[in-house]
Amino acid sequence: MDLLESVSVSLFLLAVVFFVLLCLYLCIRLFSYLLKKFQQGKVSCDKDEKI
Amino acid sequence: MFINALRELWESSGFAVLTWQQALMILLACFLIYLAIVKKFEPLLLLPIAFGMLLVNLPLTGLMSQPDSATGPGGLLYYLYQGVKLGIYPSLIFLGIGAMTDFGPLIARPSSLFLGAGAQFGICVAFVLASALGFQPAQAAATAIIGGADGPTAIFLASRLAPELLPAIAIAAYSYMALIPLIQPPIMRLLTTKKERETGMEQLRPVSKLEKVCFPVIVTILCVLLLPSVAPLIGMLMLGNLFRESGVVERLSETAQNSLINIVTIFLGVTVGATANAETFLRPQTIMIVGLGLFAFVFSTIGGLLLGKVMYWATKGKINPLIGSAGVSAVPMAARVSHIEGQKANPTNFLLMHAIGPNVAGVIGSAVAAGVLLSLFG
Repeated sequence: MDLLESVSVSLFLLAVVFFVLLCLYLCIRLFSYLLKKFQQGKVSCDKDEKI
Repeated sequence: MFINALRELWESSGFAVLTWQQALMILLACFLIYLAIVKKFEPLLLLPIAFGMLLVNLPLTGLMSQPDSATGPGGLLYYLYQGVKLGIYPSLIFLGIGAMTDFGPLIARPSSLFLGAGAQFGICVAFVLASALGFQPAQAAATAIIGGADGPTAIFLASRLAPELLPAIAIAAYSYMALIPLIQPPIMRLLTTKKERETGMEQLRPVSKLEKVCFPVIVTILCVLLLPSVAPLIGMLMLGNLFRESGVVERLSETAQNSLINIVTIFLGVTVGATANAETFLRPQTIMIVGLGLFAFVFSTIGGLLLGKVMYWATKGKINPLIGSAGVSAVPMAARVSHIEGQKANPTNFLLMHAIGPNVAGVIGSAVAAGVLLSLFG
């Protein structure tokens, strides 16, 4: 494998690792956001019920 | 007749056939045992590896001999080695690691994932260097994974891509992991300013049990769909974590993080060491692997730190760049080093929990890197 090929492979490797972890980051953020919204919605429903 | 008997006894002993290469390997094994016991260099793995190396270089034992119609069944270590060859032991060790790991700091600050990704930079640099030095692509990939600072991942990949290099890679990986407190601090001080090192970080938000339970399921589904080759490592890591976080399988969690991981560590260590016979180990490639391993570690630290600096600037000083070096997946050693360096700059700074996030992200990052290399060269 020549230098150009090995550099291409290693950059590809780094790009894939970043991409996979970016997708994971977005999933975690989305999940945390949805959970927070759901819990806020539940709290306001409980407040309405008490009133 | 007595003299004949003595001669026959001598000729059937290991002394008669011991070569100088085997004697050298025995001395090297004794040195590694010394490092493990006296200097406490990753003794959990290095001690069985060193003893396996000792056993295999004692002649005429047949411990690693394959089964043969002429000689009968194979040796003890040959059969135990099948767990390494088939990728079973590293995956089971990941099961135990998952059961021991708290991903809470990572869930509380998901941007730590990028620090874990940045710390895989060393794998890329080591791959290019290894290729330039004449290693075949699969061998270069197996050597480069040392930069991930993850022993089971390095063994998993080396056993699939370059089994002839497995002992050198395993010994290099675990030795450098033990040397993290010596390798990382000078690089951390070189690449960060005192002001950056003094940065205090806000306390992490609390993470709910639901988030901790859903995390391993989400990670498994996402990572394995994107990259199926990563399934053995990520799957077992997340299964172990689910055992821990679900709270309903205490016995399984307890077994995974204690008995199972200890048993597998013994088998893995001894059999990896037993692949280090004189013919495969005493070659110029071994010295090159040791050198490349150091480069890989150094550049992984640099990658994590540089990304830490980017995040420091992007967040206007809310992230201490020192936690970037914890992206190498030596848990919790690298996180502890970040914490100690942070305290040296600012005694009121407590970076340990902040550094655990990138540290465990690095475990996922190095497993993903291994999956990519396996799909490219496997």
